[in-house]
Amino acid sequence: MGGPVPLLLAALAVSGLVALAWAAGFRGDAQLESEAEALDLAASLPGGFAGKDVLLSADRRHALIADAQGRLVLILPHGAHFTARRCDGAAAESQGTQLALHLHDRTVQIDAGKAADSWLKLLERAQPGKARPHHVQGRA
Amino acid sequence: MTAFDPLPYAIPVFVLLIALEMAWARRNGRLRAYEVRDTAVSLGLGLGSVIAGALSAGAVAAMLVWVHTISPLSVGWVWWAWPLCFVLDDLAYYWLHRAGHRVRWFWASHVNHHSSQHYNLSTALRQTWTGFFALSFVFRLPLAAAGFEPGMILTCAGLNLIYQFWIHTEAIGRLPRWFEAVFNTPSHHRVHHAVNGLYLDRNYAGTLIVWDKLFGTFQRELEGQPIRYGLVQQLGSFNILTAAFHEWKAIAADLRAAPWRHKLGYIWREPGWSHDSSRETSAMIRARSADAGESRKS
Repeated sequence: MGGPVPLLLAALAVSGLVALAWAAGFRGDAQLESEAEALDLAASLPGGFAGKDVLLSADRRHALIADAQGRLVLILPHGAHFTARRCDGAAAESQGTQLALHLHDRTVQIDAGKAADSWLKLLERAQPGKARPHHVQGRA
Repeated sequence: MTAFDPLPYAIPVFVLLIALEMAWARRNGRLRAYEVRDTAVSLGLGLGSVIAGALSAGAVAAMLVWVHTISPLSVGWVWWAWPLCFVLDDLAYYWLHRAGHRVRWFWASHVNHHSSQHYNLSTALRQTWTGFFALSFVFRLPLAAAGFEPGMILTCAGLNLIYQFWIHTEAIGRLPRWFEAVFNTPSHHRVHHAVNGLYLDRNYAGTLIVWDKLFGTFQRELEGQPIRYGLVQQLGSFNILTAAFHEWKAIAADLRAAPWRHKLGYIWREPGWSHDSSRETSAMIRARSADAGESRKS
């Protein structure tokens, strides 16, 4: 079995399966179920993270978590799941209930409700972490 | 060299089983089981790995033939050599896979297989593009040196890869005890793909789980312990090139930044190692996780 035909057939099969996943409704749209889920996600970061205060966005697609030292973790949707990342020192601003976090690769808008201003203060106070992972470490 | 590559014949079955698993997930309301962009990346990496494998197949075969030629041993094509070759190839795979998690150079090639936060049959096809570059084939050269025919080794390696497809699923719970005791199963391999502290760097087996039991790396899947899949620092990207090359890029960045006497450590030490101890290895995460478990108990 050689030549380009098997590869073209495999590419066609890949396209078909991706289309099937889309048609079957596997389009991601993750929502955080609770503050506890957000805390667990933050705790799973390399080095651990003992969250104390949690802000769930109104749409439950983002969360901000602060520990006792005022360090911060942002929970972001990633397809059907979430990723956690340290966001100490990220530039931030608020407008009404909206909180905007300017990360190095994107800006994240969070509907923080009445808590927008207090979280903005926390963000402004946060100092850069001592061991911020700058790339993916070994899953090991 | 006579060799039979079973992989092309298995691909239609893979496609059918992925479609069936999607139907199962939808029927059971498991809408987090698949994600369309994740599936596209997994299958794209699978397709790319077939191309990368085809491009390097000649060189790998030539090296096996060369080692076989200079070896004083020759087993030949006798029937009993087949099961023996398969078992020894599975042992070679265990050490290749273990190195793939314990040596950052090999991890850079293998990491993309673990970069999905999903665990489904499409994840099985999330295979490396850089296995030849990482020199992963050296783990199979001892088989040729032991006198096994290169074609037989490659066929057994293909069959081993095919076996590992079906264990990438949450649709199958536990299998009969005798089967779980001897073979790698969905339950054992879920542990391998987990990032929970207890499960890190466990169950490297390809087909036979007995190697993990023999070499002290076995961990049973525990009831009531929800599994998180992926990487300890999740990739957070659906870019296929990022998935394929991110750890190589990270190694290059570390090599540039590290002091001279520590540079090689970023290649041959375990993933997560750093000369200033600013990062965590799996052993450190396991210890921290065990400590947290102990403090919760007390």
